[in-house]
Amino acid sequence: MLLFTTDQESSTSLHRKALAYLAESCEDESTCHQVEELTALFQTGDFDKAHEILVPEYDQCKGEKCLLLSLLRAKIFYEKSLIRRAIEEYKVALTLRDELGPPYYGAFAIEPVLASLLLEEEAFSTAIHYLRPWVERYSENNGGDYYHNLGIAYLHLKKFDSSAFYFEKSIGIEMEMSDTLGLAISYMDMANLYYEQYLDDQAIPYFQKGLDYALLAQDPAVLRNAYLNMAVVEENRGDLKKALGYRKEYEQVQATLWSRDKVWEMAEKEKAYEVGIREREITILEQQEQVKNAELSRQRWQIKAYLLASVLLLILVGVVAAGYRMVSRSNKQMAAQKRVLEQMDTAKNRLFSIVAHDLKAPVRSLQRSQQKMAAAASARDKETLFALATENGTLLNATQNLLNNLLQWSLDQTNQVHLVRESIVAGRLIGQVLYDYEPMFRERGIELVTDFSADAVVSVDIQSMKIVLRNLLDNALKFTPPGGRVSISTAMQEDEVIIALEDNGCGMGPEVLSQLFEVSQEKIQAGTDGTTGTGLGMILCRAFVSRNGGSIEVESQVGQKTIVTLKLPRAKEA
Amino acid sequence: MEKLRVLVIEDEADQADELKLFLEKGGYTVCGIADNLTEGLGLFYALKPDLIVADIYLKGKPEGILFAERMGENMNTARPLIFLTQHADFETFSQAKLVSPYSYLLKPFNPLELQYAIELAIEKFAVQPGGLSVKENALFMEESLFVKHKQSLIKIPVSNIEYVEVDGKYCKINAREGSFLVQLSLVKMEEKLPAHYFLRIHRNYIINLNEIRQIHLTDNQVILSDERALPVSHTYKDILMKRFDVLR
Repeated sequence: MLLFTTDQESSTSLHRKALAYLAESCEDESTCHQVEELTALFQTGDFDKAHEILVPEYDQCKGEKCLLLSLLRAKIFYEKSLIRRAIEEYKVALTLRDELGPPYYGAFAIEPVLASLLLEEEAFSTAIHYLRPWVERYSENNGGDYYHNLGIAYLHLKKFDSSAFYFEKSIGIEMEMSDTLGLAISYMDMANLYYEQYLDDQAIPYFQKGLDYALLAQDPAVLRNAYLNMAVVEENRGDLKKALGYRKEYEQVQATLWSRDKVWEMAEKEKAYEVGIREREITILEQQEQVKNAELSRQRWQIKAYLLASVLLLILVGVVAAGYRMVSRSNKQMAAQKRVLEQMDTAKNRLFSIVAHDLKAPVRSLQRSQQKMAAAASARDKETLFALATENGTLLNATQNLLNNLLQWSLDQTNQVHLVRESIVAGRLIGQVLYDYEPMFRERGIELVTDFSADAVVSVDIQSMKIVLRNLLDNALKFTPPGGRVSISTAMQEDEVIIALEDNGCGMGPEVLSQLFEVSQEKIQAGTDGTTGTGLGMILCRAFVSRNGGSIEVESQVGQKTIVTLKLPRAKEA
Repeated sequence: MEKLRVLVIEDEADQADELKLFLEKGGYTVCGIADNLTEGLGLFYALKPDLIVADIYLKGKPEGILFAERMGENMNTARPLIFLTQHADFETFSQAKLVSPYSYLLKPFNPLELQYAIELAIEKFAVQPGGLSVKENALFMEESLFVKHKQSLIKIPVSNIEYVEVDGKYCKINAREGSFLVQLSLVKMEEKLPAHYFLRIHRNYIINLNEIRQIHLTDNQVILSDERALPVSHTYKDILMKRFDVLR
C-alpha cells in the first residue's frame, strides 16, 4: 500500500497568487470588476462560469497576464478532474513563466504541482524530470512533501536507492517540523520500499515506526493503512496472534471510517433532500412568476390595445377637425371672394354711370353746338362758326381720350393686354409721346421743360407706357392754366428709373388725392379748360404701371402744384 | 452720303403719302410704293431696298405677313422690315410672334416713332439689340455701316471708309461721305472691319489699304489718296510691310 501526498495547498496557493496578481495589475474598472468576479467564483467553486469568463480573455492576453490566466485555467481543469488537460495547461504555464524570467521562478512553483499531477497519472519518470531539478534548487526550506513524492516516483520505477535517499530526506525534514502524519506516511513508504525488495527485516521497524506516528497523528485513513500493513507483515512473519490484533484494530478504524463516511453520506442525503425541497419551492415560485408574467403581458397587451385605439380615435378627431377647418376656411375664402367681387361689381356699375354721364355731357354739348353752328352758318357768321368748331374739337378730343381709356381698361380687365418688355431710353419714349402734345401746350401757352438722362434706360412694354404717359400729359394739360409750366424729367436711382412730371396747376386737396385711384362719383373734377375728368385715366395708369413692374405716386397742393412720380424697372446692362 | 432706300407697301394712298412725307423729311429715300403683295415682291427684287415698311393687312388680307414670309425664305436677300398695324390688330400681331425678327409701328404714328421703329428694325435684323436705339449710334450690317446722323440713319459702304481714328472714348470715321463720330471703340471697329483690306497701323489709326498712295518708310508715314499723312508706329510697321508684299 503506497501513499503519496498530493500537494493541494501548493496548487491552491498558485491560483490564489494568480488572482492576487491580476487584482493588482488591473487597469480599468471593467477588468478589475472581472477579477473580483473570478475570485468570487473560485471561492464558491463555480468553475464552469469562471472558465466562461476566462476563455475570451485568454485569447487576447499578453505577457504576465497569460501566465496568470493559464494557471487559473489549469486549476479549473484540475477541479473538474480533467487531470490530463490540467497537466498540459501547467506545462504551458511553465513555458510562459520561463519566458517571463527569474523573478517569476520562485514566485510560481509550478513544477511540484505538475509533478504531483503526473504522479497521479502514474507518469513517474516525467514527474521526476520536472520535480527533481526544482527540488534540488528550492526545496531546502520547503516541506518534505516534494522529497517524498520524488521518493515515490523512484520507488515506482524500482530505483530503490534513489527512492530511499529521498524518503530519508523527507523523513529528515518531517522530523524537523514534527510532522507526525508526514512521518507516518514516509516511514510506511520506506517500509514498503524494503518490503518490495523482500528485505522484511529492514521493513518491519519502519512499519512499526509508521504505526507509532500514525497513532500520534490520529488520521484514521493513515492509521487504518498502518494497522493493515502491520497485520500483513505479522501474518507473513507467522505471528498470527499479533496479526489478528492488528487486523482487529484495522477493522475498528475501518468501521469508524465507514461510520464517518455514513454520517457524511447522511449529511449529503439530507442536504440533497433539502436542496430538493428548495428546488421545488423555487420551481413553484418560478411557476407563480410565469403566471404573473402571463398576467402582466396580458395587461400590457390590453394597455397597448387601448393606446392604439385612443391614438386612432385622436387621428380620426384630428382629421374631422382639419376637414371642418378646411370647409370653414374655404367658406371664409368664398365669403371674402364674394365681398371682393361685389366691390368690383359695384365699382364697375359706378364706372358705367360715370362714363354714361361723361359721354352724355359732351354729346349734348355737341348737339347744342351743332344747332348753333347751323344757325351761324345760315347767318353766315364766320367768327362764331370758327369758335364753335374749335370748341367742338376740344370736346371731341376729350371724348376720344375717354373712349380710348375705356377700351384699354376693358382690355386690361379681361386680361387681353399683351405686354412685351423692351429696353428704351426713358427720355426717348417720353419724347415720342410728347411730340403730339407739344403743339397743344404751345397753343395753351404752357411752358414745357424737359430734362432727360441719356442713360436712364427702362425695360417696359412701350405701348402700355405710352398710354400712361398720354393720360398724365392730358391731365397736366387739363389742370394747368395758361402761362403755367409743366416739367418732365428722368433720372436713375439704383435699379429703377424715376420719371417725374410736375405742373404748377390747380392741384388737388387731400380728399381728392386719397380717392385718386378709386372709382367714385364724387371725385369728378372740372379742368381749367371747362372739361371734366372721370379719373378713369389714373386708375388705368396705376394698373399699367404696376403691370410693368413699377409704381406711381402723386403729391399735390391745392392751387400750387402736382407732382406725379413713376418708378419703372431699369433695363439691365446688355 | 447715301440715304437709306425704303420700300413702302401700303394700300391706302393717303397713309402711303403720309409715310412717304415722314420718311423723306427724316432723311430717307422712298424708292417705291406698292399696294399689293405681288407688286411689293416685284419692287423688292427689282429695287433691292435697304428697308421695307409694310402694312399687315392689304385690302383686308394679311398680305404684309405673307410678304415677310416670302422675303424670309431667302436670308441672303432679306432686309429689315417694319410692320404697320392698327391698334385693334396689335394684339393678334404681337401674339403671332412676328415681333422678334421684325419691328412694328402702331398707327397713328409720329416721325419720332417711325425713326425709332426704323432703328429697331435694323437692330433686330442685325441681331444687335440696342445697337442703335440704346447703346451706340452705329452698327455694321453686311458690307455697310449704319450710322445715326442728325435724327436719321445713313448707310456707309465699308469700302468707302478711308480710315478710322480714335476720338476720346469713341472713333471718328473718315469716309468719302464725310466724318462721323461713332460710339464704338477702335478695338470693336477693328473686329468688324474686313481684315483683308483694313489694317491697324497705329494705336490710334485703322486704315483702308486701298486708300494708300505712298508709304514713307523713313518718316514712318503713309500718304492717302487725299494727300493726308498718317503715322505708322513700330509695332505695326512690319505687318504693314508684309501686307504690301502680298498686294504687290
